[in-house]
Amino acid sequence: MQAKDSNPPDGGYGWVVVVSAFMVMGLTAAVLKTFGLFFVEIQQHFDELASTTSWITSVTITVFHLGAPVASSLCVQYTHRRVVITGGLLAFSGMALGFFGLNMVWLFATTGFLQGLGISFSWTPAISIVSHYFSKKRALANAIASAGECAFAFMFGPFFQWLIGQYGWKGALLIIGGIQLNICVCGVLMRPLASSCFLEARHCETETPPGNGASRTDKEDQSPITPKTFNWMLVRQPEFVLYAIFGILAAMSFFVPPLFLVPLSYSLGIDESWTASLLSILAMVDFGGRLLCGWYANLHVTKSIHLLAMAITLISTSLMLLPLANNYLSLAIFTGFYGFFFGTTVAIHITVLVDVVGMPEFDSALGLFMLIRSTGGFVGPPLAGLIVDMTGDYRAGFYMAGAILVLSAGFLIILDQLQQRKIRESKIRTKPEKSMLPYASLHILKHQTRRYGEHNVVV
Amino acid sequence: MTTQDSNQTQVNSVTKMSVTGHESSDAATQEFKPGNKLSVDLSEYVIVLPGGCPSEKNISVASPTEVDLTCKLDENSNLKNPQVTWKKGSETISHTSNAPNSWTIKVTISESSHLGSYTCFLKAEREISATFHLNVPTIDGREKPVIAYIGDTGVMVCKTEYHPRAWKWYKTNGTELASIDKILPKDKYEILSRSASESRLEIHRLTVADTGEYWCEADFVLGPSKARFDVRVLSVAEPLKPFIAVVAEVAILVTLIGLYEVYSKKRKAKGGEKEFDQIEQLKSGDNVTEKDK
Repeated sequence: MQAKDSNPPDGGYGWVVVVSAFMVMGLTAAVLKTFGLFFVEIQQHFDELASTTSWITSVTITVFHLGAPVASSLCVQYTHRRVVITGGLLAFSGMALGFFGLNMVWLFATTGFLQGLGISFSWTPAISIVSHYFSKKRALANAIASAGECAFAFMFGPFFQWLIGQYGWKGALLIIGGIQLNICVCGVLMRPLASSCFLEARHCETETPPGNGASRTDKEDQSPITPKTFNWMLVRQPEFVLYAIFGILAAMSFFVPPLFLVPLSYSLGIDESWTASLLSILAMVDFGGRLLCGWYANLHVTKSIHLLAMAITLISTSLMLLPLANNYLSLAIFTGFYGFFFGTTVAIHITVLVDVVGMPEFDSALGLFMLIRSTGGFVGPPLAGLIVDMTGDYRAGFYMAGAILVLSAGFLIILDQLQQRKIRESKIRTKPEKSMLPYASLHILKHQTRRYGEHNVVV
Repeated sequence: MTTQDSNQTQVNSVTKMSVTGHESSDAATQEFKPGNKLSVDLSEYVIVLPGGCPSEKNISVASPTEVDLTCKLDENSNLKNPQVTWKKGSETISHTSNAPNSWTIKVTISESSHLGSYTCFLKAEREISATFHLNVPTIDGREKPVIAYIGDTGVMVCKTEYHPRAWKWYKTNGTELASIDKILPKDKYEILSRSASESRLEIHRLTVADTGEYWCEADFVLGPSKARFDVRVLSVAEPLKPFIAVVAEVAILVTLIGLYEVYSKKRKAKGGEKEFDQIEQLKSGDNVTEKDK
């Protein structure tokens, strides 16, 4: 039996893929984050309302989430490389066509839809292929790749402003589109793994894992197993469902703090430049948190899911304590804690998804997970806004976010217990083949076999 | 009624007056706005001395109104029973003292000559002073240049929180300001006002000749206020240059990486063949040894 990704490189060319994914993260997520700089320009130029202009980003984010499962299934059918290159071309066309800026609808279609689709087709495979290339060092690799978003967002802020100052918003869009074309370069670097392209063995440029010198014969022996283009059965798996619920709750709360940090800061009497520095602190600490988490997870001292649960608990603690801040210093400290643990969470949560569903299902799971998670992202900010309006205080938003995160951590714990129970059960099942059992355990085993016999499980 | 709460909390000696209502984020000079309406609201503005240095306040006055300007002495100050004079320029104004260590003047602003800087001087062992600057409101234009392309539409938006009587637009012609309607044909530009507090100049079918300095002027009852725009018209070639450079870089990198991969695949294929042959040899060697056994 050939196991898909049975021995991923765990190094070597994998690090090239990590760097490539790092760049893709930056060229997609960071561009999206920094797009707000174009708001005022576009709004003024077309004499539109702020809410109408903000729909551009809403379209981008919606298309990004809806496109994630599509991208995942395409990854399985074609290679990650091709999907990323397609994504790069789409994102490039979105921004470059936005240069013609005929009217608002044109911008919705280009910088909204095309860009969103491009980002989706680039981001999803990039995240996915890193997990394919690594097993032991997966956490570290994922963490490094995800840190790209922070690093680029940091640079893009001043850079985009300079571009707008030099070339106007239209010219800036054109140039940014060109820069996003580099996603295609990153895509070309993402060589598919041998095990991932059994159907297209003929014209597949593969990266054979070391130790498979006779891989040619292997390929010929492989029976063409139809790859599952999309596994909807995942919804039936309780582990995936639990993790998806965790994802929804986490997404609900994650978008809230960045939204309300600035108004809270203003309401405490902190002025604009200091508030802006808070956001910079957030970005830097996020970056540090991601890398540090990757390094720590790589030590394999703690299970990934435990690490995630701890990180979530710590974030919710920071969020619950944040409203206690009454001056810049305390606000900065709590923001720092929040940002650090947020980075930790982001860095590790993809690795946990791999642990939950396993590598064979990972691609479909990733797309589906992103889609389900997006519902939380859509519900969260309006709900928080409602609560803030009802209580008249921005702090309520932070309490809400903290409470929801505690709830989500609960689901993680349930998931972990479920996983551990299954492992224990499968261990008990396999025990008689391995060890000499004393009488008592033999008795228990007979009891188990009787129970499992009802379910036709071969012991 | 007033846009400021009379409970001003003095935070520390580098005073940031945290006041409810409108407040600009600049701590050194803060702008307070009396009512927009034409009513004669009584707005009071206070500076507590000794405060930050220098002690100043900018007050925007759009329409005729009456204001009370008060200088208060901080109770922790070591100045005792100072001699107080209020001055505008060289002219002394009589004041009243409604509370201990508090001196107020009432200023009626009905024409532009009443605007200006009003200073209170407190003299005892040393002299300290505070100044209130009463001016027409500043209007928000755009500090960064307005960049547009040839053939495109250039947009300049002027905003204020008040209601000026009229808006006018000018372009710098040499050393003077020429009114837009005098130098541009009617179909070339459009001045739109969505509300009294906003004016928008759109110039269509831009050419390089349209590059220059533009001014929008808000005409308040008490005088005009201007904002400046720096319009630059670029040709499409300008952003196209870096764009083509980046696209070329991408094309080069993709080609290089593709070639490298094809090359390394060929090398591996050759190496794989060698390995394959070696393994075949070993296998046959094994078979031989096994047969011997």
